[in-house]
Amino acid sequence: MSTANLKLMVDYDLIDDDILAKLRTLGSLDVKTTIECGYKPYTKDPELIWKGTLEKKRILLTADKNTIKVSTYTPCKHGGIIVIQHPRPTPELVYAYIKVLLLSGQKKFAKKHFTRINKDRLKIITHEQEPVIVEFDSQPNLRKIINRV
Amino acid sequence: MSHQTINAERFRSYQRSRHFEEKDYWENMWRQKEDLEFLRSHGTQLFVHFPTPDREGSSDPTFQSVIKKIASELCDEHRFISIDADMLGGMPHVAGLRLSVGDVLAKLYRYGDIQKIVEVYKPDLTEDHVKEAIAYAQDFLEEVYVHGES
Repeated sequence: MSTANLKLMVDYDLIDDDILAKLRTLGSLDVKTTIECGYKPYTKDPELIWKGTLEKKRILLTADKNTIKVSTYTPCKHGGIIVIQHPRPTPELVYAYIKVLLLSGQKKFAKKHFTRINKDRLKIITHEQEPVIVEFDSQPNLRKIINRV
Repeated sequence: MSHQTINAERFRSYQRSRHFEEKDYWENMWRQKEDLEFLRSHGTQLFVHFPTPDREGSSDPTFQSVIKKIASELCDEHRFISIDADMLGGMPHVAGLRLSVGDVLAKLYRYGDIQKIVEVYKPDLTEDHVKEAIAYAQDFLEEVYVHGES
């Protein structure tokens, strides 16, 4: 695993002391919330994604799986988005999903790209090349982390 | 003989909708009638099915427009809930917060206590916001499922 930090900006829907505390135990992460980055609780999607991720040089971590879509927020035109694909994410689940991203060896692709993580795989959609897909079933160490949730 | 399945949700939604203009209703009825007659005249055996809203129906633009209209109209009855295309992609949310009605329900599921949610998001979120989100979700479900049948 690379030691370079992944700088995250946690969206309002995932602001929760337990989630933040767990994420901050992951050594190779730099975690700030949208509020800590200076945004309001009512900042709109385009400002946060198009402008915010680039200005703050952070990847937006959100649970908004329904409306933050790759078709709207084209990879490489923002600082990066990670979508936790679960309807009711718990601190343990968010921690596990981000941990598998860090351990997958693909975290370098997350910046400026669109990453979706669910219980079966992580998929990083880039602008110029084929998506990076990691199936957890093919990597027992990752599957083990996911199964603990 | 060829087989084709027709998505009837659009057809049915017009029949049941109280919100569409009569003109739209009849235009759609005629379009559907012509489509069906054309297919029948070409030997197509028709199987009409009624998709569940969260699967096939979600890709139907007419179905989506009906759902969005219901969601929007309910905001008039729930003052703390609003819809804005640039906020959470147009999902109904707590007015002035990046917190959808679904997010509030998910947090209630997790914490099992309104006060704990309020504690996490204080001072932005109040007990009234949470209760209004719950009421909105209930009204939305009921409106979708009994729409026009009373």
